[in-house]
Amino acid sequence: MNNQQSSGANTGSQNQVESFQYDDDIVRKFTLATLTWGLVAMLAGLYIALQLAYFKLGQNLPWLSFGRIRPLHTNAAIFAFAGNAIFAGIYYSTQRLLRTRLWSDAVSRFHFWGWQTIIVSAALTLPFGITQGKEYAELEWPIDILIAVVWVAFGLNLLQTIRIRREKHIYVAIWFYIATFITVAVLHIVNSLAIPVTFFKSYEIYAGVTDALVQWWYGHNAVAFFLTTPFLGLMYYFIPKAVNRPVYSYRLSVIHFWTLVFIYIWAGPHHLLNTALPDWAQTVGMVFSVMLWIPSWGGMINGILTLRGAWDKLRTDPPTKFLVAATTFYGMATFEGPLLAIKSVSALAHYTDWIIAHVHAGALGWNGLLSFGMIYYLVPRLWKTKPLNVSWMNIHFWTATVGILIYTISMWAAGITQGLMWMGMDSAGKLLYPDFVQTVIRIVPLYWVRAFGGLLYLSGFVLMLVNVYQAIQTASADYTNEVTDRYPRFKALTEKLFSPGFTHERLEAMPMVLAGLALVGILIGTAVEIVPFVTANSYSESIYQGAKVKHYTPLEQAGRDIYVREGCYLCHSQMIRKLDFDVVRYGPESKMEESMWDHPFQWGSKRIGPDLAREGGKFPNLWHYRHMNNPRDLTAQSIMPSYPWLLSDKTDFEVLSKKISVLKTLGVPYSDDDVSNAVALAHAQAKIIVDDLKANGATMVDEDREIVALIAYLQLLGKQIEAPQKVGAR
Amino acid sequence: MSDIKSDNKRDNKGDSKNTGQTSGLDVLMPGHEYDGIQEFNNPAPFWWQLFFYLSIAFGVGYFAYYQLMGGPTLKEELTVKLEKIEALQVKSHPKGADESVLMAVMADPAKMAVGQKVFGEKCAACHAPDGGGLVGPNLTDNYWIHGQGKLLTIYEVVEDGVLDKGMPAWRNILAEDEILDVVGYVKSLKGKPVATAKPPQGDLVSE
Repeated sequence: MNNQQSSGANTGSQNQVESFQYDDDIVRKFTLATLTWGLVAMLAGLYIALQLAYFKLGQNLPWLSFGRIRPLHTNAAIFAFAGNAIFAGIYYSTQRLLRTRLWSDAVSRFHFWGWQTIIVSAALTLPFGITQGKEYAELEWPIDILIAVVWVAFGLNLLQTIRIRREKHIYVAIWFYIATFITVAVLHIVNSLAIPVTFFKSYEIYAGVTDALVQWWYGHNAVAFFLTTPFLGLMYYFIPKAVNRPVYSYRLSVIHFWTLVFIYIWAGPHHLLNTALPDWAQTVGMVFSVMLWIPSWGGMINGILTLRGAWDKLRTDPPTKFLVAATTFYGMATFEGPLLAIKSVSALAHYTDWIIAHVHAGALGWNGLLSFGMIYYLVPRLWKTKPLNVSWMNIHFWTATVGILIYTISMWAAGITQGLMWMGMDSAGKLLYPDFVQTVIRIVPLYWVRAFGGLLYLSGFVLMLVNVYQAIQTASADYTNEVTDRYPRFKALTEKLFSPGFTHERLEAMPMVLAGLALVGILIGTAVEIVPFVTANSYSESIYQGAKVKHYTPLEQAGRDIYVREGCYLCHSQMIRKLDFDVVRYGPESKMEESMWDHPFQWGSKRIGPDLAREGGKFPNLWHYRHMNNPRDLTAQSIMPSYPWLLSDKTDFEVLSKKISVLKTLGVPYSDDDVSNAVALAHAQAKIIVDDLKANGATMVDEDREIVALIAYLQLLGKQIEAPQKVGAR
Repeated sequence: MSDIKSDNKRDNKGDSKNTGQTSGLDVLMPGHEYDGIQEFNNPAPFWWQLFFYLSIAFGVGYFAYYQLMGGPTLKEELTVKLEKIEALQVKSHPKGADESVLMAVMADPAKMAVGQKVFGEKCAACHAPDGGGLVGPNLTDNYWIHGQGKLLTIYEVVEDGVLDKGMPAWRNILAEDEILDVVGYVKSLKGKPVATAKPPQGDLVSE
């Protein structure tokens, strides 16, 4: 162990002590943004929870429909609420852990205002159906570019601040911040690659199974490196600060940091278990998920055992209560995650509300409570206020905790109930609940319970807003004066990376090497899982073995874009799994090649309504026409929203040539004729559908209505393979 | 900040376990102090290490069995299960029906009531509650696309559906008795008055 590290007075003789100021203004900004967007995210969540309980809410208003507001809720919770919280915490702790001011005030402010611009852009586009149709990556290409730029600005600021540090070694929290920056940059850029059609529409460069794999590599690791690693860093700073105790184990922090970085990136395919994804990729995703359990618990142990000798703080100090409860929820969610990633458990739980319970234990419990604890800790220090109201903080703690429990327990019950109902088969080989809607009605009461749990959580948060607001009213007049600290600058590095006596501490003095190793760590899993799919872009031959698969006609593609716009994938999967009860209910299992021209893939992750992979031909055109207008006309108990605007709004035919041309560039085998005649082809196909609708009694249908394009698309689902296919279980 | 830091130091000085030890529990990492945060160097708990190794062993074993040693693929497992289900279906619900059984249904008011109930639940959405036709054809007139107005052919259409036209196959959804009852009920609809009759489709069938 070297002992030359600067610490307090004993190193003062070695190097001159320097005086500097911390930039806490940026932390205050991010803190206020966290509180503001937290309210928006939770209100949106409560709203969509109520829509599931009571479908008439927001009825007939396109921009308030479930499929458009759910992405707003998830994006607001992840990127606006949690995002601003981690930036606040990272900027506060990094300056103090490295004993330096942030590298650039200008870049910090660009980061802040850039991030808020992204959030406002999301709020102004998602309700209008401007989306790329991939979960947690819905934002369209101009916003994606802005995210990349702002994220890189954040990373630059972080790395440069590390470069100008006075503390020689970087603390474990900073390792986690570095891993966060690097990995999210890689994930976001790779997953968002798309070719624009217009300013508000683009097509992903990936299709079908490749898109599915890239998306869930991104989606799972957004959870890992946006909602886990930065929060672990915050935990490593705020828990020891709040309880004034040393961290439990340095050794454990080294092990669990590197195991998390290396293992997490492999786990994405557990979102695609039992699907058409090749078995080997599913198996890899599953076993790495199981191996993630213990490294995750390393973080929990280190967080909670840091309290040894200060357990009384759990009674007396509200911020500590929040931080420790958050860490406990982290432990719970990271046990549940690996469990859900086992193929046979996934068979029951996937597409059900069990997953919703799981993600909210993480989001409300881990991210939410940790952010609240951190903000309660920060507000008196950032604004130099009187202490916050302790009983209000305690009430907030209990409403939040009870709210989360009500939420998760009701969704566990709903998920397991519905999962078992989907599986249920009698001794005659018939489904016990053949009508999907039967399995929905059963859990609607639980949707009310869930909404109540969410309401409790939200009310505690409102109390926090009032508490913080009142405290800030007592801010001392000089709170904007910057905090000054004094610290000596460490001597230049003397060690070399490759010399005898290597310890992890040497790496801690070489942040860029550590960053490089973290990058290598995440690229290994990425390469093994993603590269075989992405590089097989001749994969129509190699993976699909020359299957003849229809690509979409211009009208069907227009309908598909409407399907994506309305967020249908948020309630309907298009993936019949290799599971007997899926096949009996929906028809033969989905094949990889059936979605090979899908930019983006729409396999979905939730079944609030039935799977649609073999919807084509299942019902006549008129059924869909009436069903979209009012689902209750066909299924009396349906909770699906009505989409009357599809019967009146017009499809944009003129843009079809451009769309088909972009898709042709992406490798969909359209002819030049298809591109130039796209509009005429679409009209011709629309006329056939309109004639059929009219022959069956529909009145007032024009070829250019959106419903016509959507019907064309729905009727192709499951009929992509040219050879006639057997439909039905037998 | 500085007052918090000094608090921290005071706390740790007061902790007798931390002084002068080089091994065992609660040894502070020398020189590790960041904004007042110090670190112990406690070993990872034994059970933690044990479960970590076990999970890796499980992962290696699972991967080896399913991907390298010829364990069943998902498709193979599915095929086995579907064969069992199909055997159950064939056994419990043999193909075909006897016309006399269907005639008996029509003569039995209790069975016709069941048929009416099934019709209301499953058929009315497309054929209208009174059978006058909506999305699907009118079942009360003399025109037939597939059923030809005969008990046995109607039975076949209900059993196997007309998948190209959007008529579902009901044999794996409804029980055998329910299908028999609803077929009897459909047959009885002929000539009944309806609210709105869908225009005739198919061929005129005169009996």
